[in-house]
Amino acid sequence: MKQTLEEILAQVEKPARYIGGEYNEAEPFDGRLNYCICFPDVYEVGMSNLGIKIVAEAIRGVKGAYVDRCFAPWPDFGEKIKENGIELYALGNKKPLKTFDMIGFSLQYEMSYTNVLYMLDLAGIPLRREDRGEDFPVIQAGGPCACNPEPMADFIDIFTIGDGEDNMRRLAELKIECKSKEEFLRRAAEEVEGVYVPALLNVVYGNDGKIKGFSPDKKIKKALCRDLDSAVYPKKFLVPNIEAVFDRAILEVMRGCYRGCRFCQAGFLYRPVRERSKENMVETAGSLICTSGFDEISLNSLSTGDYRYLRELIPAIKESLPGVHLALPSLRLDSFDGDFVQESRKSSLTFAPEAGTQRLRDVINKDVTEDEIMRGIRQAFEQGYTGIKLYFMLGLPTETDDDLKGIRDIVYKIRDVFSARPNRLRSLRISVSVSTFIPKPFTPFQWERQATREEVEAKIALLRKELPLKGVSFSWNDYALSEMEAVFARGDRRTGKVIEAAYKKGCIFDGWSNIFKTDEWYSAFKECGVKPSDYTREWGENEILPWDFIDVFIDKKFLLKERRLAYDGKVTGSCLSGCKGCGLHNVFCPKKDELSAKKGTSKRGEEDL
Amino acid sequence: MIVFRYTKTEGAEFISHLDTLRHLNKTFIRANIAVKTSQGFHPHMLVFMSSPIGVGLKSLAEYCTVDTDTSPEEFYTAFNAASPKGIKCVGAYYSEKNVNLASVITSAKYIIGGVNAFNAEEVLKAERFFVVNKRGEEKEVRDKIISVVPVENGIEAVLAAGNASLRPDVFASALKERYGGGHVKIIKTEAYIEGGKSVESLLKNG
Repeated sequence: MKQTLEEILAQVEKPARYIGGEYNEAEPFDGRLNYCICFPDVYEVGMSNLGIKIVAEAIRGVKGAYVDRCFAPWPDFGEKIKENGIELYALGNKKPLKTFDMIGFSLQYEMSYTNVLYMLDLAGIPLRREDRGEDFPVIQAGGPCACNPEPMADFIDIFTIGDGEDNMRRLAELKIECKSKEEFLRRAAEEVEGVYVPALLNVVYGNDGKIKGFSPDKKIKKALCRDLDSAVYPKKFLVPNIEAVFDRAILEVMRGCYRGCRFCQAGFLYRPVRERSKENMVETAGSLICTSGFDEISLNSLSTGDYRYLRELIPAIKESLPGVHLALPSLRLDSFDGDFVQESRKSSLTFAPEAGTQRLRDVINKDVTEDEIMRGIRQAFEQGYTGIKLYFMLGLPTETDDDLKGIRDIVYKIRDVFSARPNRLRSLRISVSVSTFIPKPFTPFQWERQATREEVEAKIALLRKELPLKGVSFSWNDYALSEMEAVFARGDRRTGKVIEAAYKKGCIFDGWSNIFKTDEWYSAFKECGVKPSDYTREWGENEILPWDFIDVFIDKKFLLKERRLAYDGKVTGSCLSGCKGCGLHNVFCPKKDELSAKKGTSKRGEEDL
Repeated sequence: MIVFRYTKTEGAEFISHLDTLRHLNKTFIRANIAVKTSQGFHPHMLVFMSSPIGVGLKSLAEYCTVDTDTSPEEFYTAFNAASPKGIKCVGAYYSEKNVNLASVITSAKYIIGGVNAFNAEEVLKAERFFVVNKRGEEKEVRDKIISVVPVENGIEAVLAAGNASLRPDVFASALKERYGGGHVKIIKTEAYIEGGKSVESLLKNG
C-alpha cells in the first residue's frame, strides 16, 4: 500500500526540511509566471545561500510572478517519495515542480550536477532537454558554474551567466510575454543579457576530438549588475525551519575581489569590484534583523577586509543593532587586525595562506607575506584565540617538496609564537587542511594540468610525515572527488553523458564525501568512453576551450600574461595598486576619483605604489 | 518571569526541541520582547523549556519560562504577532520565580488516533505492559500508563512525562502491534503537575 506524505514525514530524518511554512514565507498564489528556484543540495545548505534569495527577490519584482523554492531531498526522503509515487514538490505551494512554468537551478559547485538530474527525476521531468516538450517547464540554470555550462548543456534549456539581478527579472517578464517555449528561448537568447541557449549553439569537433569551433561563432556576454546599491536585495530572509549551515542574516558588502589570486575562479568571474554603500548596509542590516530575528549578521564578500568602509560600517551596525553579533567570514590574514573577528564565538580563526612558501604564494599571486601571516596570527592570539585553521592547496603549478615543507615551517612558527606568550590558559590547536588544486575556467591557471593521483598521494604522504605534531590535526580531501570536480569544471558537452550515467548508477550528493561513490563514477566514465585524463591534462594555449564562447570580459591575453608571470614567480598585486588591464576596464570602470580614494585606504596598495 | 503555554502544530511539530528553542529566541527578537541574558563569555537568553516532545508529535500544551519584565498581556500579543506558523502562545502567566517546568510536569494527556478499537480496561487491568522503545529495547511501562479512555477518534491517554516519561508514539506502536491499526496520529492536549493538576493552577496560585 502506498504511503502518504504525512506518513513519510513521520519516518524520515529532519522532516522539517520538507514542509515549507518558514517564517516570512509569502502567501502562495497562482501567478502569471510560476517560477521555482531549485537548489541542488540539502535544505540546510540551500537555505543559507544568498544568490537564490537575490534571484527570488528579482523575479518577485515582476508583476504577477510567483516564486517558490525546492531543495534536494536527502536520500531517505527521496527514496520514500519515489517508492510511493509522490512527485517532488515546491515547499511553498506544495505543488509538483512539473506544474511550474519555469524551474531555475542554482549551480554553485560542479559536484552538485547529479543532484540536478536527481531533482528533475524525482519531479517526473525528463532529464534531457530534447525529451521535454511544451508540456514541461523551462529548465534554467545560473550561478558560478554556469560560466562553463557545457557539461550540463544536454539537460538545461537556458543558462543565465553573470549577475542575476537584472537579467532574471527581464527573463521572467519575457517568459510571461512568450506563447511557446521555442519563442521564449529564441527571444531570450537575442534580447536578454547573459543568456545561453544550448540548443542554439553547435559545437564542432575535429578528428583529434578537440573542439574546432562554435556555430554560430558569437560570444555570449555575461550579465553585469553595475550598481549594487540600486539593485534588488532581499529586505527579509526566510527563517529556516531547522538550523541552517549559516543561521544568520547576510550582508553582501561587495561583489568581486581586488586581489586576483591566480587559482581563484570567483576572483575573476565576479569582476569588477562593486561595493555597497555603508548607508545601504546599515539600513539593510536593520531590516534583516528586525524581520528575521537572527542574532548574528555576516558581512560577506570574497575579501571583506578590502571593503573600504569596513572601519565605519562595523561600529555603525553595532550601534544600530546592539546585541547582534557580527561575523566576517572572509578575512585575509593581512587585513585581520584585532578589531575584526570572523565569528562571534571566538573559538578558532580560519586563514588561507594557500601555499607554504613565499615563492609559491608569489606564483599564485596570493600577495601575502610571511610577516603578514605571523602578524595576523599574533593578533589572533592577543585576542584570545587558541585555535587556528589553515587552508592550503596541493598540486599548484611549479610546486615542489620544499613548498610542502613550508607548510610545516608555518605550523612550527605559529607554535613558537604561541609558546612565547605568557599566561597561556589553554593549549594551542592548529588544524591544517589541504585540498587538491583544481584548474578552473577564466583563471590564469585554466590551461594547467591537475596533479595526478600518484603525485597527490606522494604529497600527502610527505605532509603526513612532516606534520604529526601535538595539537596539530591534518586533513585532506579525496582525490577522486577533486578529479571529478576538475573534469566538470573544464568539461565540454561530451561529459554530460557521464553525469547522466553516474546518476543512473546512484550517484547523488557527490559533494558529500561520505556519500560520494568513487567506483560508480569511474565506471560511468568507462561506460561513456570518456577519459578523465583528457580533461585534467594541460591544455594548449592555442586550443579552443569549451567555454571560449562565453565572455566574462576578462581578456584571454591578460590571463596568458598572468600565467607567464606565475611561472616567473612575479606578483601582480591587487587592483587597488592600479589597473592591471584585465579587460573589465573596457566595459566597466569605477570613476577615476573613486579608484584613487580606494588607493589611499589600502595598506598594501600604498606599499605597492 | 513569564511562563507561557504554546502550541506545536501546522508543521511546527516537525521542528526538533533545539530548533524550537532557536525559533523562540528569534521570535523574542522580532517581537521586541526584552529577555534577560546569562552572564559570561557566551551570553544567551534566559529561556527554559519543558521537556522535549518527539519530532512529529503535535502539541497544544508546551510550556516555557522566560526571564523578562514584559507583562503577560503584552507578551501574549507581541509573541503571537512574531511567532512562526504553528508556534502560538495560548496563555501567558506571571511567575515570581523560575518554575522548573521539566521537573514539575509529571504527566501529559494525548489523543491517539489510528489504532483499531480495543478494550481500554484490558490495558489498565493488566499488571504489566511492554513497549519497544526508540532504541529497540523492550521495556515494561505499566506504571507509566495513568489512564486510557476511548474517545471518538481513538483513545485519550494520560502517560507519565518529565524525567520518567513514556513516549506516546512508543505507546501507540505497542497498541498497534496488539490491536492493529493504520497511520497513527497523536496530539498532546494537556500537561499536568503532581496530583494531575494543570500547570496553570500552579501559576495562578502564585
